[in-house]
Amino acid sequence: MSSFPAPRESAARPHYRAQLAFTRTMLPILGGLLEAGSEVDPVVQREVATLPVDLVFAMTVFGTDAQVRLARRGDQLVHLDPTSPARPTLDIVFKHVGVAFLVVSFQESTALAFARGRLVVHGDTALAMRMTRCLDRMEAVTLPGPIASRALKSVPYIPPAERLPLAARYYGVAAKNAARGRVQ
Amino acid sequence: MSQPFFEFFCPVKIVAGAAALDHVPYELAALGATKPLIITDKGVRGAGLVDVVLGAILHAGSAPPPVYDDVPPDSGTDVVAAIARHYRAAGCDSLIALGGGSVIDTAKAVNILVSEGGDDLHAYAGTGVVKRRLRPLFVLPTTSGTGSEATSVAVIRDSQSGAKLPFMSPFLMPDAAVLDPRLTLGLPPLFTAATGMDAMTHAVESFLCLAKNPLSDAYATAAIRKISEHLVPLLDDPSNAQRRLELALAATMAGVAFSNSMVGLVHSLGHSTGALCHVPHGVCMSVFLPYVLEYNLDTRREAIGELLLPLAGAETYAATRPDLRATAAIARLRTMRDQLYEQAKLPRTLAETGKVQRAQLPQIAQLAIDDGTLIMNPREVRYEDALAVLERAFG
Ligand SMILES: [Fe+2]
Repeated sequence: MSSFPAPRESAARPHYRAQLAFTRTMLPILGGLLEAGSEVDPVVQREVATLPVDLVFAMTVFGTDAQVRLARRGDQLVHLDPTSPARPTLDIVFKHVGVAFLVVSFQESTALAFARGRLVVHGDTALAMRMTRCLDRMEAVTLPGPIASRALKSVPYIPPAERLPLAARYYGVAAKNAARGRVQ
Repeated sequence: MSQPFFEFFCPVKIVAGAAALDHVPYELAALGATKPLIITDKGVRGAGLVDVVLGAILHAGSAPPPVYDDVPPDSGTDVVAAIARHYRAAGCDSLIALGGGSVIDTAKAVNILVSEGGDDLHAYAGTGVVKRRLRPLFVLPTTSGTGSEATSVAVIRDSQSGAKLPFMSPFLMPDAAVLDPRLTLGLPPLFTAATGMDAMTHAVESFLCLAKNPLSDAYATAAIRKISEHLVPLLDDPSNAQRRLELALAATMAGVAFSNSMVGLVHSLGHSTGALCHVPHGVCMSVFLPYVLEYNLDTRREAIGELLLPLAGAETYAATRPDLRATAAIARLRTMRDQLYEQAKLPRTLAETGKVQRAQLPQIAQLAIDDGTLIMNPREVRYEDALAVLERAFG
């Protein structure tokens, strides 16, 4: 009896490295936009107000170091630095990089990935529902319509005169916060 | 593009049919168990079912197994810890759950404690925390509805805080589900109707939700066919053992279906209405099902149309134009609901339950959009949408 030889990574999963690199880049961007949403978007703010004050929310990819963590501080969500010791109280775990890639590249909705058993939620499901609504709202505001319609079950209508300035504020605040650096 | 993928898991042995109970000692022994603790409630005991089970499983001269018969309807962590103490004191090596949803969930939680040790259930709450095989657990359902005999989930109330603790692990799947018509023969008409419609809802939602897959579809449609064929005739002939067995099978098949594909908005609304107004789960299911199907109609017209075949049979299906099949399927469910009202006084609207005030609807809607089942619903549901469905279902 011999065990299976470990396949050469590039031969077994040719896109693995590229997908991991993309996911590592996108997760913090999503975290930054979520943080910005809690500063500029009343819809996100209403959801954040119902979260526990000690919430630490994470999205992680099983078997890799790709992750993003946010914590509620006061009335806002703050994007945590990778070195922060805060342990997640709500953790969305993608079962492998390919799933995370589909979701963070807006090719599959979080809901569908969850439905298909490709990600698991560790923590209170009611909180996961609220965080999902925050993510959905952020994506509905900041993504161009055709991309949003792949990322979301349904795209709520937000008049362009409202959506475009709000999206600009999301991106502006996220850029400003990124320049300032993340929180421990 | 989004890539198709699904998982399907059901390791439960189904032991079903005439005298199925008599097989329990053999099946237990096959897993190396000889001394089960029977977990049940006062209602089941009062209906004489403990005696039926003991009569079936006792050999000449063997000592009767210990019975814990005090599981409350909304079971809590203190009850679970108390039963675990009974189990240890009696030197048991396996569990038999005899009852409905609360008894089955309680037995699953007891199994965590007696297998893993200790009496703090909190340590095992959540998804995938239980990572090892547990003691043999057999489920003997006394209602044909919840499908818990085929699911890997248990929900237990925290006796201190009152919060609901969810437990999810593949190891919570029972080892066997024993379906014997004797167990449901005495179920009163209203319970028969309500639990039957719970099973119907499991199958219908399973067939329509985001996580549907070819295997869960097969179980779901087979369950719908059985419930459509047998529920209404059974209520006219309650002692028909064959129909009782068909319904028990249907409930288990619907359980297999939804434990792999999840449920949707009917259950989100039902969980919230149950929590706030104490309307029985099956009653909520029957009330909300047609209204939720109407809400999902545009998103799932074709799939709802396919349900006309198991709901109404081949002739009606073939005689109905394809574009009219979805509305015909919903109409069929409404007809069934009206028949169940005539036969068993199963409420048709929230108002008819006598337990819900119109002023409570906003609170129910708010709770429903935080319910985890909502994420599987095929159509996005916002607060206003949930409220609109509730308003229509109020009557
Ligand atoms: Fe149910």
